[in-house]
Amino acid sequence: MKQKTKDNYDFSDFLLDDEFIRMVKDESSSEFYIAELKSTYPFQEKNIDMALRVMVSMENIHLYSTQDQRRRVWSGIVGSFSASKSELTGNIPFQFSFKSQIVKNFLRIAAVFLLLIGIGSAVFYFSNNSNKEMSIDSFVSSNKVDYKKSQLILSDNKKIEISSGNSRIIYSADGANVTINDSSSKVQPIKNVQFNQLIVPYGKYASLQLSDGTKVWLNAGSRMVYPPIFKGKYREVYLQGEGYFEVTKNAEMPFHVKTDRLSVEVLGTKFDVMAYSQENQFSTLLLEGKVSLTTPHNPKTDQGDFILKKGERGELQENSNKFVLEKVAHPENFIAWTYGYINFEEETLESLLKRISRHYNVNIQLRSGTGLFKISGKLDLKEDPDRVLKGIAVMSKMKLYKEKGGYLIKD
Amino acid sequence: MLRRKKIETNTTYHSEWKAFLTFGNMSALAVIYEDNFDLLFNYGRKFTREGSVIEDSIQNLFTNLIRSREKLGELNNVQQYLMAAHRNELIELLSKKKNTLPSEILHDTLFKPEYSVEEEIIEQEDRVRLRNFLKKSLEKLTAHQQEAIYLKYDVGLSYEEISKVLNISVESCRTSIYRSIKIIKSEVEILNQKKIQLFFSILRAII
Repeated sequence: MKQKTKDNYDFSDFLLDDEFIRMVKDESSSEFYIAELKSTYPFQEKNIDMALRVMVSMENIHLYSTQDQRRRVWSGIVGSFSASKSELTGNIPFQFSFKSQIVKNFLRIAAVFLLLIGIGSAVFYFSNNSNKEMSIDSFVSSNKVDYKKSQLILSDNKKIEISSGNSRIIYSADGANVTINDSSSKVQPIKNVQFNQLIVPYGKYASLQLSDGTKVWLNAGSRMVYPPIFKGKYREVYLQGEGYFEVTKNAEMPFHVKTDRLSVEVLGTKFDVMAYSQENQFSTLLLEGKVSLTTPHNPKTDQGDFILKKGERGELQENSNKFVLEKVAHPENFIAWTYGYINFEEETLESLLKRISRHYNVNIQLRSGTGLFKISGKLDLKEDPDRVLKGIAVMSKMKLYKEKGGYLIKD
Repeated sequence: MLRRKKIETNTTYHSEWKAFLTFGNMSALAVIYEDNFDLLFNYGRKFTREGSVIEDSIQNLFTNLIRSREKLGELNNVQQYLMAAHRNELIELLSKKKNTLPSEILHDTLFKPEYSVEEEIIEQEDRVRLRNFLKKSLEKLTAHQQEAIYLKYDVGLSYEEISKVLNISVESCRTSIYRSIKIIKSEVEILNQKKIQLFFSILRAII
């Protein structure tokens, strides 16, 4: 048998060469090493490429944990050793691991009290609000809008069309100056009660900074109505579609997100609201802080106020005013769209396709007995829909067909 | 090009391990925990897609470390020790969940890689085709072989390290990888032959 050297390697020999694997897997050296190797053995370029190709195909999906996840598991680890803590030294890197049970209980009770006070004052605010001049609700119902174009409607009913797919709109603190995409700036008169509106059609996005500093990301197919400057007892906006909110803290003036079927009330926190009326989909996911949910037409549901904790999602049932609570393992996945991504974990194919269809404004039909089959991954929404859907089809072992007016995925 | 992962597989954690072992220093253990969580979690996902079970296994693993600290010894490679212990723990948990199946059977049937598809979205048609083909070839390997392949080519461990994780000899580890690669090689050869045949049949049709 002849001696194997890199001269007469085939691609599989490269894969069995420890040095080759070690150098290729080493981030700092791999590019240089491959270039060197190819220039030393130019006739081996094909085999080297094939070996690399095989290695790429061996790569697995890699998930990154969140700090919250690691913290939660870690507290489970150290939590069981509170009794024998004297044996262990060193600083505990995460806060509450060694707190005694009594302190924990006290904090729990205190939190409930604070919560109750919060709800109490919320109810007070809510019931005091009936005598407002022109309410946001009547404005919303008296103003019909066209969802086909990206546009910003100012208080003097001036309509500004926005051409870019991802627009950024910033209000000055007095609400009079509006900057669009860092360049063009508009001035509007500020009178007593008027509202501005931002319309984001399917296939588009927008982000918005309100006069109080609150940031809102609007997903495709959304409409938001808000005053240029907040006055009165609370900050009130109306949303149709999906929005992710990072509300500036102001304990004096709670923030309300109203939708057709549910209302979210907060003091200052991060949360996502879904309110797609056409699909009768209403839910809120809390990423930070605390929010309470109500249904506007009967503020006191059977369950009373519905309080969400961090990482919880409250969804309104389709045909009753009851909320269903769900714990979400990776809440940040749900707001990945604000960064131009979709992160999905164990999501049903059906619901994922719904999100994609909304994003690209295309019709996607799923014909399969396994629509409830779950997949995980990450998609770049800046890619064109052909490629994104192809990726999904491959991943779920289905076939993709392009049809008149949309796509068809079937197994 | 190959996707890079933020897994450090060449850190030894000798000083952290020693600090934990001799003084029960929890900060040192926390460093090991933080750095290796993703490695363990992703390895766990090949046995079950249920995150909570994987988390339970990691939790038990570290709880056991703390509990039996005095009985533990010096380790050459902390990471491989953790991976092996996590693997055993996870298989134990899963066999309990599925009631009767003995651990040994699970060893052979459980490992299911989840080959990534991200690149396919940006790759060209023929590359995608080759990749799908390779993926199918890989899926023809036994679960054990696929696990060895995962540890060697995805995680990037050496034969010695893989043998520690899987608790088998270095030699059988080498053999397993060798066989797997040869299987893939013969699959690729068959594909190439088919291509040549197709070429000639088209040629013949033209003539």
